[in-house]
Amino acid sequence: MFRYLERRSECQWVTITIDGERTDAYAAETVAAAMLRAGHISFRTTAVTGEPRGPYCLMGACFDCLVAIDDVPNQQACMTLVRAGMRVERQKGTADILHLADLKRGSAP
Amino acid sequence: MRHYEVAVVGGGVVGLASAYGLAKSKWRVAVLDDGDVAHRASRSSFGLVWFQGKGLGKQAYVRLLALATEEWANFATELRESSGIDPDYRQPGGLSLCVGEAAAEERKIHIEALRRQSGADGYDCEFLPRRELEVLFHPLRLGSEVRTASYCAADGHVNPLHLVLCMQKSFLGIGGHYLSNHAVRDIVVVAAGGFELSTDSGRIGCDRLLLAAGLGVGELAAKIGLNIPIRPERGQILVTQRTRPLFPLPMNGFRQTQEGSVLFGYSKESVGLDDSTSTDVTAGIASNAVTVFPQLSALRVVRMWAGLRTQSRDTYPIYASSPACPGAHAVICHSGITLTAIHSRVIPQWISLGKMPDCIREFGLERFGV
Repeated sequence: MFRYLERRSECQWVTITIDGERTDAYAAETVAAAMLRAGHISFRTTAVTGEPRGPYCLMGACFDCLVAIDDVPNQQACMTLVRAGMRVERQKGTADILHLADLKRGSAP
Repeated sequence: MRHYEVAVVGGGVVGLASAYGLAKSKWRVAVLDDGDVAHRASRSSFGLVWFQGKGLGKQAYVRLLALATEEWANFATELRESSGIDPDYRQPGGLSLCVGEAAAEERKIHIEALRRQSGADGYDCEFLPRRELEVLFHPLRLGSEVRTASYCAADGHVNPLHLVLCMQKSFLGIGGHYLSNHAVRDIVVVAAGGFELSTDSGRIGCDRLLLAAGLGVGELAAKIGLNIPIRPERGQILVTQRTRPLFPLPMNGFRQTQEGSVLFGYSKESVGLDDSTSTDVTAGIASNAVTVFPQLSALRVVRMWAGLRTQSRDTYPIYASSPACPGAHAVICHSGITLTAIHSRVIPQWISLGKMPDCIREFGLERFGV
C-alpha cells in the first residue's frame, strides 16, 4: 500500500527487524513510516477487546502506534526514528506496567 | 415560538438528570444548552461517586449523599437499559489513602467527627492497616509513606462522559427535546403566567423554569430575583496511557477507567474562569502519584485537562425557588456526578409539586442570609 516516491541516494539505508523479519529503512525516517512501507497496517491490538490498531495521527497525539522497540514496550512508532539493528515488535494488548517499572529502574528480569 | 411545560437551562449532569426525570413523568421538557464554548464542568469531572469524608458540619448533606449512593446502582442499570450505552458505574467501595503520619491522624479525627455527627444514622467507614492494603493492591506496590486508608463500601466511580451521553440518549428516547446553541441571555416573566427566554437561537416559552447552568446560574438567577453567590474552583487531572487493571477500587485522587486509562487528580485553586492546566499543579499531582504508587512512574501521561467546579460559599449544593417568580427555580452543586441518581428523582418532584422535598430542604439560600 505504501511505497517510496523516490529512493534518494544521499540517504543512508539501514536494516531493522519487524517481528523478526529484516527490512530496509532510511536511517532518519520514523519507525511508523518504515512499518507502513513494509506492509504493516495493524501495529498492535487493544488491551480491552484485542482489536487491531494502527497509526492514526502520525504526530504523537493519539497513542495508537505503540510498539515494542528493543524490548521496551509502548513506544510511539511515529515519534521514534529508525536506528541500525533496531528490533521492532508489534504489541499485543498493553504493556505490563510492573514489568515496565522494572525496566525503567534498570533491573530488567 | 416553541413552548414547553418545563425549560431546563443547562445540559450538564444536573440539567440532564432533572430533565430526564421530568420527561419520565410525562412533562413536555426542553433542555436549553449553550454550545461547546460553555464551561461544562460535566466534561471535566474525575468520575468519583463518593460518600466518605464529606459533610462535616451539615448532616443533611451526609444524608443526601447516603441516598444518592444507595440509588446509583439502580439508576445506572436504568440508564444502561434505556440508552443502550453503559455508563460504566462500579461500586466496589472506595479508599482515601493517607500518606504520612500527620495525614493519617487528621483523617482519623475527621472520620471520627463524622461518626459522632451522624449519631443514630451510623457512619460506615473503617480504616485499613497498611498490611491489608498491601494484600489488596498486590502486585502493585505501595509507597513506603502510605500509612493507612479509610474504606467505605458506598463509594464508587462512573464514566462522566458516558453518563452525559446515556442521559441525553435516554432523555431524547422518551420524547425530551435537547436544544444546543440555545444559551439563555434574558428571562422575562409573562403576565399571564410562565416565562419567555431569549436564547442565542430565538425565543422559547415555558410554564416552569429550572436554571441548572453551573457557573452560568449566577447571572441568570438575578433575572428571576435570586442572588446566588457562586465561584469557580479549578481542578486539574492527568490521564495516563491505557494499561491492564491495576486498582481493585477507586481512590480519592486515583481511579482507572474501564478502558484502562489511569486518572490522577485532586487539586483546588481559585483562579477565576481560567481552565488551563499549570505545570506546578500537574507536577505536584504526578509527584504525589509516584509517592503513593512508585511503579506508576513507568506510565506515560497522554493528556491533562482542567475544569471549573461550581462552588458555593459553604461548598454545599443550593436548591432555590424564586419567591418573586413562582415556578422558577435554580440549582447549583459541585458534586454533580455523585448526586445525579438522586437529582433525577428529587428535582422533578420539586419542580412538579412546587414544594421542596425534605432531603434538599436545608440547602436553600436562607443559610447565606441573602
